[in-house]
Amino acid sequence: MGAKQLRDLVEKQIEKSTNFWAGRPKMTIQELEAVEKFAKEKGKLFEKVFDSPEKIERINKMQNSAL
Amino acid sequence: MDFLDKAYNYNFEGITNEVYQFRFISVGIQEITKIVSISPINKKLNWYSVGFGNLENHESIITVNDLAEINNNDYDEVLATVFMCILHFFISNPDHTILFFGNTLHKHRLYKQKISSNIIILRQYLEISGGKTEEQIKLLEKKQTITRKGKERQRTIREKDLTSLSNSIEIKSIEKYNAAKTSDYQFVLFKLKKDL
Repeated sequence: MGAKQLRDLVEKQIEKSTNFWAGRPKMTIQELEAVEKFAKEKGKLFEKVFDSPEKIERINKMQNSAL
Repeated sequence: MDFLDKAYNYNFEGITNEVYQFRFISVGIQEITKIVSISPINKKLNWYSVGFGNLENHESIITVNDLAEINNNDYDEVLATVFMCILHFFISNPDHTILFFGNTLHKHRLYKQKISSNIIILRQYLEISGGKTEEQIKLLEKKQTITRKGKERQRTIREKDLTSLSNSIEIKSIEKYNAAKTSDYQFVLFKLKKDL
């Protein structure tokens, strides 16, 4: 039930978006590269929290117990 | 209107070097092209970081600015779009985790407030956790000049000083997101609900 609801929600949005974006210019390579650079910078800080297998294990446990 | 129905029409631009890219246009006083990026931070645990900001072009230099002073005061619509992009990502990556970390005190508080006020809708699809780090993140005060109703005004933004964490950062705890304790959280995690 929930899975179907989620798919319907995303599909409805994709359909609306497809019509909206039809005929509009695609992003340029420079724009895509700028986004990539931004994304990598954004993630850099938190990459450090996983700098050892022990920390990865500890974080995994913490996350699972919070779910 | 349901929070997620407020989302703008986003376009999934594809994946370049493992970065998922989405684009949408914020509408208001002016049209602003905005970007949502989702990129890996740890592949073993499948943790990804979400970022969003304005796509700007100054003298042919293109950047994504997540400290932009220009906005249409459409925080609900922008955040709903970011969540739609996250849900879109989860359709093909159901076991992954998305980390959200606001870069200014104001935005971080505002977004947590929006998450809290829409928690019932978001929890239909997502497991939400709040996390704390061992380190206290210092704040840098920066002055910005903004134009409102034709008048220039000064404002102060409190940006998180990430260079203060350049040597190390440790996660202290992660707990189920509690709307009454959001001021404690330095980051928020989203995961698709298990039964979806």
